[in-house]
Amino acid sequence: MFILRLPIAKLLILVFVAFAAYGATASPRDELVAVTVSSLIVEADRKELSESRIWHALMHYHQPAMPLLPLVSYVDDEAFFYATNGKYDPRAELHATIAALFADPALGNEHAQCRFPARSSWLKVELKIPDSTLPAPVCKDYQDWREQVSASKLSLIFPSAYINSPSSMFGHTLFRFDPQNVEEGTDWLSWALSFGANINADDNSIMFAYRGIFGGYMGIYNMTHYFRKIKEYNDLENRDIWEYALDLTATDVAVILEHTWELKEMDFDYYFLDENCAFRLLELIELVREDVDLTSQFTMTAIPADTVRAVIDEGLVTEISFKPSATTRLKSRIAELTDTQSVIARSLADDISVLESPQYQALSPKDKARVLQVAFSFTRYRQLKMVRDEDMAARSHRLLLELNKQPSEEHVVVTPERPESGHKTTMAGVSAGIEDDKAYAQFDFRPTYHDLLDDPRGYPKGAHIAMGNTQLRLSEGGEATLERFDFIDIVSLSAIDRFFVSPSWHVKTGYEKVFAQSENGKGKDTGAYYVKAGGGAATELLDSVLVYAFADARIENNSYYKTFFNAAFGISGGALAYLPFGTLRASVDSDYFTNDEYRLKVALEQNIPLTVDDAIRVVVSKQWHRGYQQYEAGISYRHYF
Amino acid sequence: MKKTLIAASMIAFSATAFAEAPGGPNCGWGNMLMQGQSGLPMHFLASTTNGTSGNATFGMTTGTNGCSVKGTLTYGGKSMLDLSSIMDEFSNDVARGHGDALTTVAVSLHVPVEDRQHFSAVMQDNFSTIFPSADVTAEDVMASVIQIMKSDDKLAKHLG
Repeated sequence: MFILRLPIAKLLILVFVAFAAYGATASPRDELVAVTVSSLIVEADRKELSESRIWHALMHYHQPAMPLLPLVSYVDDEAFFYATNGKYDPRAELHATIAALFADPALGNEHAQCRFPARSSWLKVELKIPDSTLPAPVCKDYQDWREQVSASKLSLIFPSAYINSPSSMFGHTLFRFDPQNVEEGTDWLSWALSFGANINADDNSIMFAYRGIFGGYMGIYNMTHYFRKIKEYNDLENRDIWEYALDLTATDVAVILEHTWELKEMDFDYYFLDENCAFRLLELIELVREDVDLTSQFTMTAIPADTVRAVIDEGLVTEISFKPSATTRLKSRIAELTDTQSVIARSLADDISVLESPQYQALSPKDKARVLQVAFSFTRYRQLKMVRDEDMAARSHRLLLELNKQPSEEHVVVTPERPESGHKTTMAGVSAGIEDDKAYAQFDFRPTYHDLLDDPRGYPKGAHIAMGNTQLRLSEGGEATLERFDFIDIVSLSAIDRFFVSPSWHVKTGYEKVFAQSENGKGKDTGAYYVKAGGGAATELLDSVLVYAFADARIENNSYYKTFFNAAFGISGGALAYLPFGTLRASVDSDYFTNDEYRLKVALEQNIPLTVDDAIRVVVSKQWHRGYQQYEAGISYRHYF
Repeated sequence: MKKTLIAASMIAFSATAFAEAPGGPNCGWGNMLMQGQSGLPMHFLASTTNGTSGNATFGMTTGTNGCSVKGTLTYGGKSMLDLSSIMDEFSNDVARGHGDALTTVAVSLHVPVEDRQHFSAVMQDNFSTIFPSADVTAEDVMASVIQIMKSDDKLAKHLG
């Protein structure tokens, strides 16, 4: 990039102006400093430091997506820059930073060397500035913090998707800093660094979604004990946590920590899809690993699972571990019980007098311990959703007193398939089929993320979140038309059993081809804008069949109906079978409109994964309308990338 | 002071009130056992958005235990872990004699690796002393743990 080179004389003036900031008259010492600074600036320009990769990484400069635009920093906080135009001018910022290194040491914690230790260390090395020539401010805050966060290892932490919360379905990533001796005990006391939107307490999810996508939130870094994150994700949200130890040296980790301090309380614009938690962490890895290229892969969207995959593909991961959520642990313990034991555990959670029952008394001490642990964990699981309940607390305490008398054994949860082992999140495909004797060819595209029929490996069972699902159809003798565009399509199925009773629900909105009655009484295909949502229940039959049903409401606008908005009510449901060769679904969907029209559809769909990222899908369906029927059969090839 | 935070989502509206405990917000040395997690709706919003609300922390800015400095309990001049936030897990671990919460408390009390097993066993044997009832507070629990350590030859020396 072309850089305007200022004459040295102008630089000197610039430096003097900078020093005037703390009110010093030009004493001989100031003049000496000014000369030193200007010679360092000349040296920095000679070495073209302002164009170096590390300077850009430290300052978060990046090339905007639009060509020809100049570099700009991601940081949206004046406090991060010394030059007035620092956000847009790497060279001016470098010069101003060099000058700031020589500021009055009395600034202490606010001195450039204390506030920006990574920048300072890098400049000291690159410009070979001897410590003797630099002021020596006392950086108490930074030193205290570094003493507290004494880390030499770094892990990328991925709390995976959470089934009943759509905005978490993409997952989240954070860093964990571990001391050298973490294996001696527990990582609960390690420090976790995360980046997230600084939300307002009174914002609702819809407001968040809007501001998250279109801008309006500031993102900030947050550092806290890892056990708080475990509680948050593992216990409160029932999200399994995956931990990826990174192949970084203790020096690398120290540099990241130095830079982390620089980001304290700094505002970034936050965008849910790209400038998010996952993207910010990739930037930190790139700071110390010149050989990896991570952020450039995620200029449009940075879905945490995809970024984890990229980090693994770059060979940065040395070890992977799994922290099951409270619910995963509880379910695993329940699975260990016989049916009779499970009934006892469930009734113990409601009624402590079951401890005196002959059925409980007949159990062996080992089985008693298992039953008690399930009853206790289940009681805590229920308590999570409500304020402290005296009876429940007393019962929990009794269960622990009883558990304390039994022999204890450690329970190991089987590690499931890793999230990054699943299919990639963007899908493109081609389909061919027939609809009422007319052949069609179709192009399918879904920017993100996973549907109920896709290979469930690495994804939570019963979760479906798709955005922008598009079908462009070319029918025999017709034109290419938009068959469907689902803006958002979410299904959340939670299997109900003896212990867990969560509702299932779905919501979908977009545009689709429908069959509607026109004024002359004849049916016709037409486009409709719609919103459809429903609530219901799901349960698991056998081990691999999930059955669900919803009561639905739909609002639709199409040009054939007399009124602008048309409401419909209906029921829908289906059975999902996770077969060895892929997922099979039989489903029924119905809408009864207030204008007395109805639509009833039954469908049978089979998805057959060929590889992790390729699948064949076969669909046959039949639709009934007042006085009319339609059928359709199609086959698709789907590729995930 | 009571703070009511309401989080609305596309599927549910819920609200709860939660009391501020001694030591400031997010602290809770006065929390009783089996507190559960009140304040869930706010939390639900904050975490579904991968967000953080208002009082962002950066390691030490609020002290190691999330309490204001005034509420920080210390032992031997070192601030200790906020037991209240892991008390339910700790009670479960003490009852069965193993677990991460138990190890975490041992680490924060400077019990070295070679004495951790012993620490766990002693705590397990004293479950009913540490947790005499469901209404025991985090502060009482910590006091009992330290009292038990004092009366054990091996553990007493780590209290310094």
